[in-house]
Amino acid sequence: MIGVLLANALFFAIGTGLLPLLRIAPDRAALVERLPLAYPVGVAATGIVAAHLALIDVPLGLVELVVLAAVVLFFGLRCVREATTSNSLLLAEPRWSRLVGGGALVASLVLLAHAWATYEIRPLLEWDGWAIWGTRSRALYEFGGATGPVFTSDVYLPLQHPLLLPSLDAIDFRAMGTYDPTLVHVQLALLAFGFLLGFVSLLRDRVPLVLVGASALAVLSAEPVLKQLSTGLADVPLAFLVALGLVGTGRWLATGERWPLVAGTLFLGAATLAKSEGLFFALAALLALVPFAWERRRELGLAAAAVIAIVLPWRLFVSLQDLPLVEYRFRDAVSPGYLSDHSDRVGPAVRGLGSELFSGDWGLLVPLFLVAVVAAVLARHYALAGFAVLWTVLAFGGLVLVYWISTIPIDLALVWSGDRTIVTVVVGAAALAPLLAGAAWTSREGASGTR
Amino acid sequence: MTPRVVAVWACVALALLSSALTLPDTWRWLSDQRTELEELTAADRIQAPGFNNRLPVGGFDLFRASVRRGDTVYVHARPGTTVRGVDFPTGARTFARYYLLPAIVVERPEDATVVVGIGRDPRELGLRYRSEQREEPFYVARVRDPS
Repeated sequence: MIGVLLANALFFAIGTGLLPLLRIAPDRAALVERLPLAYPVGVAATGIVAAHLALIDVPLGLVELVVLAAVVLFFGLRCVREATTSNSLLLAEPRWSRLVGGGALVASLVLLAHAWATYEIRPLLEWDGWAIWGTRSRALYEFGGATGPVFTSDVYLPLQHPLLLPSLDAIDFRAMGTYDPTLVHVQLALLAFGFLLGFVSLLRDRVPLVLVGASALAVLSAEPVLKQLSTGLADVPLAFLVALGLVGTGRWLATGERWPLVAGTLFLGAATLAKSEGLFFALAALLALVPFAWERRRELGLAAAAVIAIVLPWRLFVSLQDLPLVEYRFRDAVSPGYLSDHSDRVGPAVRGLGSELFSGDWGLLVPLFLVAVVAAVLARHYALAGFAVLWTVLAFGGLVLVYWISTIPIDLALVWSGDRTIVTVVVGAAALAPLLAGAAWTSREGASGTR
Repeated sequence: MTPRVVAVWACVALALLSSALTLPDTWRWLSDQRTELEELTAADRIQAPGFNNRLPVGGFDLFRASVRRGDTVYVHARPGTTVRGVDFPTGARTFARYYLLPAIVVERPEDATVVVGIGRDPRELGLRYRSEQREEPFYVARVRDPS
């Protein structure tokens, strides 16, 4: 256990150095205020670096992490001392909001602690958990990289899953000095904790605590989130990364501040390396921003370039190794003939994913998102509302497209993965709810909340 | 009260109500899992993926003790199905990929340094073995040492 905690402390240290280096927290006051964001930033950044190094057979262990953390902290803290920007919290918020929101956040922490206690004794049970993700994590630990047969031979199909999550697991195994398929589940609880920290940090000074806390608790307590997270599959970690990416880029759209765009871009980039669909969800976010941030297209273009730069080494690896994509071919998505021939799959896909979207297991997350959109529209925050709706439509439509071009019989495909692939759409949309409603609240309170 | 304010209040109410609806079930599921799983020993936890899918973990423990880093393993398995509906040879091969690491599973017997059999004798393959071990219905036959 100490090894896992040590590795995660180093993720936090790396994130702390990166906050000033990436101008997410350019000065001392901002660094203190946004320090909780350091952990998810550190996890995302280290995961990206580890996943890339795995492609050239360079393992990242405790020694390398210590060196990396020392270097990043040294340059980051040097950078923060030189900055002179001032900070001030502008959001007006009544006492009851802070109390209820704070209570909801405490309840979220208690729930995560309860999940931790279960995860630390839960073995790999679900088929894909050990057959795909467990095998890849263990192989990265055993071989130090991804050029061997486990990642390139047809015997080990499917091979298309990127390496961020297995790379983080492999770091934990190296830190523990052994392969422990049970204790590594603690990393999953820590990812949920990182999501909570990032979510609060990205919203805290913009959105009343009651909206932040209640939304965080609503997301984390939804049954599929902690249940699916415990399986060791990458769907929920992907959802957390995409959600943080959406909140960051959404805040940038609403306020014009650059730091949430930088943070959001990092999370979207990490999402592209968490699962293959991550690239698609990230591109949907960037595309959904285009019509509403056209006048800031240069910044948006840089963000898109950063996301592509993050995913590029993996895509090159896939291409150079000629790794087969067994379930579908991307080129079928732009082939009118293929789409026409398989159009009978669209109806079942829409109905199947729709029923997952409106499943009672999610509680009221979907109505929450819809009412939040209405709140933003009523407050005339059309751009933010438009971005949220467009991303959700693109994300859902894209999922339908994936099932449309899949080679697996549609009923089977939906049974196997429908409840998992929808997680990112629901969690991503729900994560935008406090930003949307917060915009209406801010208008109501008469404070800008921007810095 | 304007429609905008109503919408904001509705969001707060929906988020809190959503948590109230889902939190008890999620909490209970986590508690039940903990109660069920805390009885497992350390060895049980390692073997759990196999047991959970009705795969013959005892045989795989024999295989695991007989292979080492650098080995390439061919899995010679009897016909049948697993709990997931996939055929037994595929299920056994998939579990071997995970459980026998750092040994590597191969598709062709002639590429293997070790052949493991589940309900089928490696001699059926017509290879020459340096050593053979059998604990019915499991077989381990070594072709050569890893290079």
